[in-house]
Amino acid sequence: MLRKCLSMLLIAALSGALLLSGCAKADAGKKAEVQTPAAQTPAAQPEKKPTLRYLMGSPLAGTTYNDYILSKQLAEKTGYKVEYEALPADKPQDKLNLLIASGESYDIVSTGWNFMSLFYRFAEQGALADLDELIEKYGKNIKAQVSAETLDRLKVNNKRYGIGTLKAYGTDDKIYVFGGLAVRQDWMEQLGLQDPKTLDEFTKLLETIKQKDPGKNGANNIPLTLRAEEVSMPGMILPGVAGAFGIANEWIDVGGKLVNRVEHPGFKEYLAYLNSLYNKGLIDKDFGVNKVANAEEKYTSGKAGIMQIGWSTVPRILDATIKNFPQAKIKFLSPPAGKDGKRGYSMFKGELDRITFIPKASKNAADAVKYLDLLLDKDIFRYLALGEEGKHFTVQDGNYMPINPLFNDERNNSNVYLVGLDEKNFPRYWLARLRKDARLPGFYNELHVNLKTLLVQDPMAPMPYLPEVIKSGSVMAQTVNDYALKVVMGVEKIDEIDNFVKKWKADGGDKVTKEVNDWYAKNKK
Amino acid sequence: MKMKIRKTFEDYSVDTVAYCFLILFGLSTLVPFLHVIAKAFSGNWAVTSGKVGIWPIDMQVETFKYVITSVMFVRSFFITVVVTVVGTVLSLIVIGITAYPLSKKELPGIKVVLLMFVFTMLFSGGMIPFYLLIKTLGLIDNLFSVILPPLVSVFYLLIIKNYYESLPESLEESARLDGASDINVLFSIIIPLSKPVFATIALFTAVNYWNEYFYPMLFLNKEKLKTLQLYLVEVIASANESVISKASLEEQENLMPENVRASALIASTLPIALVYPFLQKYFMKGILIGSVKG
Repeated sequence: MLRKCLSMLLIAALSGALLLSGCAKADAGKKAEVQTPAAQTPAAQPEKKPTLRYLMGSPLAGTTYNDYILSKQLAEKTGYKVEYEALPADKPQDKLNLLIASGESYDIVSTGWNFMSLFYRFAEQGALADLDELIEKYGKNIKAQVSAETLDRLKVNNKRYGIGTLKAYGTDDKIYVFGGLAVRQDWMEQLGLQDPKTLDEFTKLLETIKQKDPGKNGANNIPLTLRAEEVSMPGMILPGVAGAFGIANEWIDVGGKLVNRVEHPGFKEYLAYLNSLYNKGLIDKDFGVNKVANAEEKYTSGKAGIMQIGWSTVPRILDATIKNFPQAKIKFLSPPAGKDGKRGYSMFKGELDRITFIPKASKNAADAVKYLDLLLDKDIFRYLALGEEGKHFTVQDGNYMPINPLFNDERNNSNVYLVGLDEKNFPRYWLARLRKDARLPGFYNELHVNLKTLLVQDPMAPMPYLPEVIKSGSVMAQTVNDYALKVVMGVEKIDEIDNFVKKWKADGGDKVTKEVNDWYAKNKK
Repeated sequence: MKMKIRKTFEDYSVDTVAYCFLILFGLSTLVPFLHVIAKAFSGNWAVTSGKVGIWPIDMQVETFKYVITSVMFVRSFFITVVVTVVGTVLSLIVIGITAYPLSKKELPGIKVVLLMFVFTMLFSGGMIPFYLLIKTLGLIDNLFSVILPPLVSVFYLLIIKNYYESLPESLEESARLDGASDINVLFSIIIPLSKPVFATIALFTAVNYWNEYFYPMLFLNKEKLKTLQLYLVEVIASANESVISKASLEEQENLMPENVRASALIASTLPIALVYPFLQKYFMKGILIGSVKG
């Protein structure tokens, strides 16, 4: 009896396992079938387009790439079947490293710009297909639509290994600002305060918020809240405030040469200023351990009055704040001026948003390039970015207006499918995406249009391949931020910053500065 | 005659204090769990502004419904269940059989074999060679790449081996006298007697397979082949800080709202949380039987 039970179990388990392997293997079998005909057909038969294996840098929220309707629509329009896979959300760079090292034969890999150091390493080690020839032969749209500047950005040792997609922008001059200091406008009106024009007025604003406590928070009153990274990390440094000291960006042009923020005299003054704010209780005491969610929580529950917000997240924050305080209003402060009249929010012109490359192990590199070229065909690109006229969007006075909800459902995620941009037309297309929430254009314009003259261009935004920067950039930025944190909180003395700068230079700061300046001297505009 | 030890007033008061303290402590460990449940059923604005305590605010069940019925969740749930069930059954069979000869000290060379097993507990070949091995076996994107690597846990193997050794030899000897072969002895005598330890190992193995993240992350690339843990990581990590600041504009807008994350967490933890208490019964019995020698 027992024997029978056991043997039945065994049989059940084994057959279950076999079934499973059968299911999983079927797909693998299909793939192999599709690939071999392409290799076998001689010139006489019409070429059967192979199925391309496409690896995306991050998963799609709420659905899978293969199920997303845009994938199917693209397959119809281009005639190429594409099988998508995605890197995991956690430690995707490690997984990508593993996949490329073991020679997985993806045909196209498309990731965000934050993979750039990994990309450069792959290119140096010969893991990527050289695209020069392929683009010459099959990439007429690529050459026509993507500016030579962008194409050259991903050159390593004079060979092109990738195609870059510029960061989304809605203006013809390609500027992009992440966000700014957003203040509770209703508080300012309540206190009868004007926009601070100078740094002193800004300090006064903070002090007034602390004294008058418009949010009725008592001991919990926080005029300005921020996170540890926003003290000095490039791209996140406290916007506006850093600008007042002339150090809005990591590299500053001083008399034609680029000086790193760490060596700039403004850095010491900036840290001293933040330290004084901290001592006066004008900055969130817990900022060192704040995560994004903490900062947002403090702001939306009315404990904090000012915080850095990306312009695209303002609607969500505003909604949450209004639920708690129906009279709440949010607006961006214009950057206050420092003692020499210096001011500004940092802006990135010409920064890349995504990179796309082809691993050497790909079996269909030529078709991959043909496919990418098709995506940049003027009509197909418009279809990809906007959809069908009349169905997804309408044109009013030369402006593209989305038809929701269809536009949101079918094109909201189209940005990750973009490989290179139709750089002339895309700014106008992109504005349609902006219009999906009626408030977004307002916030976007506040930063990109109204404050345009107060934006300080990051000279390193159009940076190409610079080995030293890639190698040590992020580690050094972390070291600097950790030190800056300690100074602001009073653990380290600001007067000893010279020792720190000396150490920074010895640990690689000099090497990086030299490399950056060599490039800058040749490419200054 | 039963002896009753009379409790003094002292005893009662100490008992009360101890009980109170332990109850409070026990309840406090529940608080984070209740908080996540509350977040799962609250409106998104309440979660963002941090107003949710252990009770939902602006109660809504849409988020939970959305998570339960989303195709990806159901798919990954099903895959994880299959992996867990097949993995546990196969694992028990393999370990149960392997441990038997290992428990026979008189077999020549058995100590060396045992040493080889233990060796694998200490050393491994590294991630890339392992990946290449699975790849050459053609198991990438195959559920067996997730079932096979953790199949034989040497730790559990040793536990079962020790248990076999603790069974009285006389049982086996009498069975052999009656003409039983080795296989007969194993299946008719040894395994039925080992039910408690098997139940325990089954529970541990099942939980292990359920929580397995590393192997699926490495070997399952297809979007349709995600296990529950992979799906969870996506849902939660997609709003991870480092991802946010480096993400493109549109990616930031598509973040999963907090309460969706909380719902996904609850939906995935609930099955195991519900099953565990029922298996506890066997687990407790197993420990007790082993301790009292008859």
